[in-house]
This record gives sequence, structure tokens and C-alpha cells, in this order.
Amino acid sequence: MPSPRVLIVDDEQPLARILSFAFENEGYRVDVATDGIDCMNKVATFAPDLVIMDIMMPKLDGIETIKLLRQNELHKGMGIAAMSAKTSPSTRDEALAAGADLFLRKPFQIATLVEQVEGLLASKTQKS
Amino acid sequence: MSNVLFHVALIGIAAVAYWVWKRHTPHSRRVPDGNAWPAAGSGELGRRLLQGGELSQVLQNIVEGVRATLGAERVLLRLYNSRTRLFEPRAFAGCDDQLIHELSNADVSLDQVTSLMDTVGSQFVLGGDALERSVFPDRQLRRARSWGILLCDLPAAGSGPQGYLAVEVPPGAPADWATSQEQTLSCMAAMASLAISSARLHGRLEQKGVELSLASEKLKDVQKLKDNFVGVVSHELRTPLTSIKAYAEMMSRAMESAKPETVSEFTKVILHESDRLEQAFNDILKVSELENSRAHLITDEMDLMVMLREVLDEQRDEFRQAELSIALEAPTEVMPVRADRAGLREVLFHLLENARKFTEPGGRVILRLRHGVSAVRIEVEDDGVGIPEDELRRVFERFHQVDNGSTRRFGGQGLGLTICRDIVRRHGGQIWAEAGQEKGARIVVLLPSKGVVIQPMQLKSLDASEKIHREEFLHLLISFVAETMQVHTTSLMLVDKADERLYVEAAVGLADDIVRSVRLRKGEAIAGHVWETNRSLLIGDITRDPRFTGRLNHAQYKRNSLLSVPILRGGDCIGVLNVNNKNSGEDCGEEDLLLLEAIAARAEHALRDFDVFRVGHRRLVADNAALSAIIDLGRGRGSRLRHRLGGMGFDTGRRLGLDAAGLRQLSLGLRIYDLGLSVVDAEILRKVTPLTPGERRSVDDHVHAGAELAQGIELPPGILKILVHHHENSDGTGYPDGLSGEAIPLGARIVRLVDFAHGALTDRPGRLAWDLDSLEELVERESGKVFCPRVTPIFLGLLREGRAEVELLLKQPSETQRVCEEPEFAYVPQGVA
Repeated sequence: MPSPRVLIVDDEQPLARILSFAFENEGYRVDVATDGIDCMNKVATFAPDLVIMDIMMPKLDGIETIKLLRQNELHKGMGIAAMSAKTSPSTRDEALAAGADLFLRKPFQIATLVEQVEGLLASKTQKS
Repeated sequence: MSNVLFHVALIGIAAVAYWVWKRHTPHSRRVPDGNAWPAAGSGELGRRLLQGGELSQVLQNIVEGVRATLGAERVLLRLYNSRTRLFEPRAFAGCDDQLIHELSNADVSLDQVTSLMDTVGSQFVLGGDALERSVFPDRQLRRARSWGILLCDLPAAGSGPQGYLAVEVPPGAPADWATSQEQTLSCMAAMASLAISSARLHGRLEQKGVELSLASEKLKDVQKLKDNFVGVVSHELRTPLTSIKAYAEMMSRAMESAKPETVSEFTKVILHESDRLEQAFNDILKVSELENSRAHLITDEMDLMVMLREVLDEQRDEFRQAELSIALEAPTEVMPVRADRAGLREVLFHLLENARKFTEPGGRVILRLRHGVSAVRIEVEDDGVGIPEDELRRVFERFHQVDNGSTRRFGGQGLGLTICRDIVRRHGGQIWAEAGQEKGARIVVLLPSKGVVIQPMQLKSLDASEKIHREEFLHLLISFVAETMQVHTTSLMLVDKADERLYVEAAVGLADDIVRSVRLRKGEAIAGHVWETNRSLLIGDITRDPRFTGRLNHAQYKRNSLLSVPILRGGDCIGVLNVNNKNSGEDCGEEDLLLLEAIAARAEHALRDFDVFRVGHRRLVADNAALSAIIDLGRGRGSRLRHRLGGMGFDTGRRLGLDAAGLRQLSLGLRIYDLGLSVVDAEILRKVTPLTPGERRSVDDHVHAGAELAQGIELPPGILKILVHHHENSDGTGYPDGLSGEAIPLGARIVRLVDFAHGALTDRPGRLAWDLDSLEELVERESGKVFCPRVTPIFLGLLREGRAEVELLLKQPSETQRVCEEPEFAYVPQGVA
């Protein structure tokens, strides 16, 4: 089975860098996008199994990006893990309503994120 | 307009009180029982009117109440409309649609009613034959055989009736029914009149309510902003924290296997993100400090160029790292400004940091400085990402990006521009953003180069807006002088008549502490000399003028020549204008003197105009304050108990032989004696712990405040005396003037006792209500000390007579003002302890 592909979308470069380091360590193939527009391009070329999406970003924010992704038949089954430093319950609800599979509040433990991503990928594989 | 209405309504109440009194005076043939106080009246009407409410509802309550009380068949109420000059039907009881239609179409003119009044007297009540003979309106109410109409006027302000009630006699009533009901009907007319006036007041209060709800909308905005604040603070802090935590976690997990360069990279990120966290923290603290602090700026004369170089040096490394070039464009080497040193440094720092953050490597930042007549212009321009046009105004708003959903157009910009805006505004300057020449953004700051200092107002004002008007006026006036004279330093000094001193009212280019501290006697220093002689002074070199050597503060004179001219009003010197330090650097000359004298004449006009404005404004504020205070009284404190006790006070006055005028004043005084409490801080009134001397003073002052408010609406002086002296004690231990015995106006002595009784019988912060026995006991004991020995026996007699009724009122929960669970502080009335 080929290594799963994870796309990390965050304008916070230090965080994107450490997340890709962590997921590469776990044997994933990783790419990074710095905003929503960049994400849409990378999704087309990189074809990730799962996207880790920040919410507050320049140009196109996470919520809008998730909605766009879910509108596309091709990406209906793709795993989306949203994360944000905005902690109001509404952000979480919006993200889930837009189509995210799970929501993580920043700051989080990388180990937790990795665990949740594994679980999400497993459930997606089962379904398909 | 609203003032006029208010006067009318208030006089309406006064007139009713007078009218009720007139009806119930012993000399009148209409002597009712002791229960003469209108609002404490009984019967269906009284019960209905207590419900209050909108005017239309009140009118309906009146007609229904009158119908029920008299057992009348049908009742009509007409109110006078001064615009149409007609008595318009406003409420009906027992009338069918057909009759309502007919009555509505029948005009009743003022002439008709006036001629009726001429025939049968001003409080027209008529029936039977009298009605047959007179020309009366509302014929529709006549019924075969059992008809008869009682017309009863609703008196209003002086001239004529504000309306009348037409009542159809019940079928089968005896022939003298109409006359027998006369008294009841008169009393009801009084109650109705009062209720109408009060409903009209309430109507105006509704208007206020609308304004209040608008204000609460604003409050909601503030709340939203606060929510945003919490959200963004949380975001600003969480973002670097997330990275720090993530890097630390990875380092601790993969430490052994990690390459040394990875460890070093991670450590650097952690350090960098920690700095970021710290910066976010500082910004937030700074913003909240700026928001909360009301402390004034400490302004100094300083060179903007020197400070700018210092700030540039601090950031030079960062600019180099970001691969940005920076250019400084300034016309001169020196640029004096008057500003708060720390604040200005903060502004410059954030402007540069902002430009640096939003410019790509290889970009350039230009700093442009220009010196205008009265302001310094600072521009920081970059060729970075720029600001969309619709965002230009909003970049200074705190956390505005949160409003735009989650899109961060200015990722992690922090609060720098908000801080800049706050500081610049507090300097009296302006800040805005505009698009750069080709691309990028430009932030522009206008900083007043000469600080205008205005003497803080010492007078206690009823209204903050007067303060703002004054500051604006003085700012304008003093800037006008400085601009016209082309000088760095100028001051407007005014004579304080109370202590014969000349003080600085406003100044440009003088330090705050000088403005605050200078108080010259006549003849003292230059301005004092001008005041004494009423003559202008042109001094070529103060250091050489024998009149002033050794008596001046030389630090403020950059040049040694100065001008000082008197501001004259009718030959009297009311102030002095001083200027020195001409912008051109030259000495002052004869031409400058002529110009300044001309300005002094204009300044005198302006000051006089402003005084006229100020008096008018105060008057307006006083009217509004009195209006709100009276509405408050009517709503919150106008309880039935108070009315009943007031009634007893009124009867006491009558028995003590107060004349008509005295009774009129007493009647109104009993209603509004604590008017002044409305200006006392509600927190103080609610306090359960002992008051501090300052708080005590502010409570004691309410007697004067009440009189001031009453004066604002031109109540007669007799009432003012009651308001002022209703806390005087018989033995001279009261306040405000320590009057004793018969020197205290009788009305005030009565109000003293009524006020005390009402206070004692209701719950107050810190203690529960007394019972009637304790009250009687204490009043008896204090008779001749606190209370007038002539007043107490009569009042106590009335209180005993009405005991059953008062006890009933005491049981009603509405009488409870506020129940406090810890009555550990005994209520000690002023002067009783």
C-alpha cells in the first residue's frame, strides 16, 4: 500500500514546517499550501488523501476552501481535518458544517493530530 | 419646543394641586372628608388611574372609571387641541358606534365652552334646568325623560380648561342627582387632569426611551467589539503558542535521532515564536492601557528628527534582514514638536514596523516629514501589498479583520496601528491610510506642532457637553491668535473675579504645569501689570526691562521681546492676551501690537458670545435635568404612601394657618422636595456602609441641587426655600444653613417631618422600615429638637387618625424600596443621633 498523502494548509510557516516534519516522520507524503487558493491548486496536482486545514488565512479562508472542496465530486471522500486558533464554538460548528471531518483547537498535541488523522484515513478507507 | 410643553405640563400639575386645595379649603362650601389628596383618592377612577400608561389608555380609564363610579349611563371626554382650537372627543364609555360617530362629527369650539363657562362658572357642573337653559355642547347625549348632563372641566394652565367630561345622568336618578354628584365629579376631574398631564409626560419619556434603546444598541456594538477583542487576543496568543508547543513536542520526541542542525533550527523557531508571543502580549497590554488610562499626556518640546533617527537605528537590523531599503525625506535638520516622548516613540516604532511587515524583500520604505504652520506631517510609505480601498479606514480599528470572517488580509499584523491611532488622537492629531504612489500603502500622521493647553474646568457642570463646547471654543480661539500672529507661544489669561487673580485659560506652546499653576495678582509680572494699567505692553527685551527683571520665568522665552494686551469690556480688564516667540524669529514690533489689540477686541466679542451660549446651554440642560428628575419622582418615588403622608403634611399646613400662597407652595414642595437627589450619584444613595465626608457632602448638597433644578424651570422662590431648607432642624443643627426655630420657613419644617416619616416607614439600603409606633415615639422625642414643636402634634394627630389607612399602605409591596438583608447599620437621620 502506497504512503498516504497529506496536504497541510496554513499561512503560519513555522507551524506548517513542523507539521510536515512530523507527518514525514510517520511515513506520510506531505505537501504544504499557504492559503486557500494555493490549496485548491495543490489539491489538483498533489491529489492528497487528507487535508489539514487552518481556518484563518489570507485570500481564501479555510471555511470557504472546505466548501469549495466539498462541492467537487472528486473530493467528496477526501478527509479534511480543520484547525484554528479561533476558539469560539461557532468556528468549530462552521467548519464541520462546511464539510470538515474533524476540528482541532490550537494549540494541540502533534501526537493527537497524528492519531486522529490515522483514524480518519482508516474510516475513509473502510467506507470506500 | 419640548421645554415649552414641559412648562405647560408642570404648571398644569401645579394648577391642579392648587385647584384641589381650593376646593378643599375649610372656607369653601365644598368640604370633603380628610382624604383630600388627589392621588390617594378612592373609588373606581382612582384604581384605574393608578395603572398609568399611555395617554389613550389613561383617557379610556378615565371615562370608564367615571362611568363606574357615578353609575352613569354614558360618558364622553373631550380634550382641547390648541392647533385646531376645538375640543376633540378622545374617549367614550357606554356609547354605541352610531353615537360615537355623531359625537365625533360635532365640533365643539373654544367659544362654545367659554360662553358656557361665562354662564355657569368656571368649574361648570350643571344639570336639569340649568342645562336646559344653557347653550351646551354634546346634545347627542340627551335622552328622552331621563337625561341630564354633567359637564366638568379639566383645568389646565391658567387660561382655560384642557378639556371636559360630559356625563349622562342614569335613568331614574332623583332630580337633584346632578348637584349631589358635583363634588365627586370635581374631585374626579382633578384626578383625571393629573393623570392626563402625567400621561403626557410619560409620552415624552417614551421618546427618551427610544433614545435609550438607541444607546443600548451602541452598547451592543461595544459588547461585540469586546467579544472580538477576546477572540483576537485569544488568536494572537494561541498562534505563536501553537508553534512553540509543536516544536517543543517534536524535539522531546525525536531528540536522539534528530540532526544537530534540526535541533538548532527548532530552537530558533521556538525563540522567535516566543518573541512573537511576548510582542502580542505587550501590544494587548498597551491597547488596554491606552483605552483605560485617562491620565493626561506629558508633553515636552522635542526634535522629531532626533527621535526618528533613534527609532530608525533600533530597527535597522530588521530592515536589513528583510532586504528593504529605507529613505528619509525631510526639509530641515531640526523639527521641533510638542508631544509625549514615550507616545511619539511608540507611534514611530509601529509605523516603521508596519511598513516593514507588509513589504516584500527588495522593496523600499520612504519616510517623509513636512512642517506646516501648526502641524507636522509624517508619512510612511511602502511599496508592499497595499491596502484595499474599502479597508483604508478600517485598518486602525481594533481587530477589524475578525469582522471579515476568517480571512486575514494582514496576517498577524497585531495592534500597532490601533496603538498609533490612540496616541495620535490624544495629541489632538490625525492619522489615516491611503494608497501609495504606485503600489503599497501610505500612513499619514498629522501631529500638532504647538501643543494647545486648556485650563481644566474647575466649575462643576451639570453636563459634559458644556465641557466639550468650551474646549472646542478655546482651542479655536487660541489657535486663531497663534495663527494670525504667527507665533510659537501665546496665552489667553482671564481674570478670576472671585479671588482677584489672573489665570491662564488656554495657551499654545506653554507647558501644562505653567498653565495650571500661574495665578497672578494685580500688578504682578507682565500680565498683572497690563491688568492693573489697562494698557498694552510691547517689550523689546525683557531681560533689560527694569520693571520685570528678576520676576520672570525666563525659560519660556526663546526671544526676549513680547506683547501683552488687555481684553477690555466696558473699560474693565477681563483678561490679557500674551504672545512671544514669532515664527520668523524676529522681535515683536508696533505692527504686531496693533494686530494683537484688534484680536483682543474680537476675543472679547467671542468670549461674550460664548458666555451667552453657555448660559443658554446650561438653561437647556437644567430644563432637561428638571424634567428627568420630575419624571423620576413621579415614577419611582411617587408612591401612595408618600402621597398620603404628603396629604397629612398639607393638612398640617392648613391647620397652622398657612395662607393661600403658602399652601400652594407647600403642596408643590411636598411633591418635589427631594428633586435634588436625582443629581446625587445613585451608588452613594444605595450605600449601606457609612458615607465618607465627601459623599455626605454630595448628599447634603442635594438641597441646593434641587433648588437649582427648580429654578431652571422657574418655580416661585417660596418653593425654592422649601427645597433648600427641608433639612434644617428646629434647634439649628440641620443643614444647609443651620437655621433654627421660626427662622425656618414653615413649609420647610412640615416637609422636614413628612420626608422623615416617609423615609422611616420605607425600607432603605442598610435597614428595614420602622413601624408606626417607633416613628411616633421618635418624632415626639425629637419635637423641638429636630422637628418643629408646632408641626409635630398636628401631624402626629393626623397620622393617628389615618393610621388604619397608612398601615394598609405599608403592607403593599410597592412601598418597599429595597430590602437589604443586613440591617447592621442603624438608620440615623441627619441630626437625630
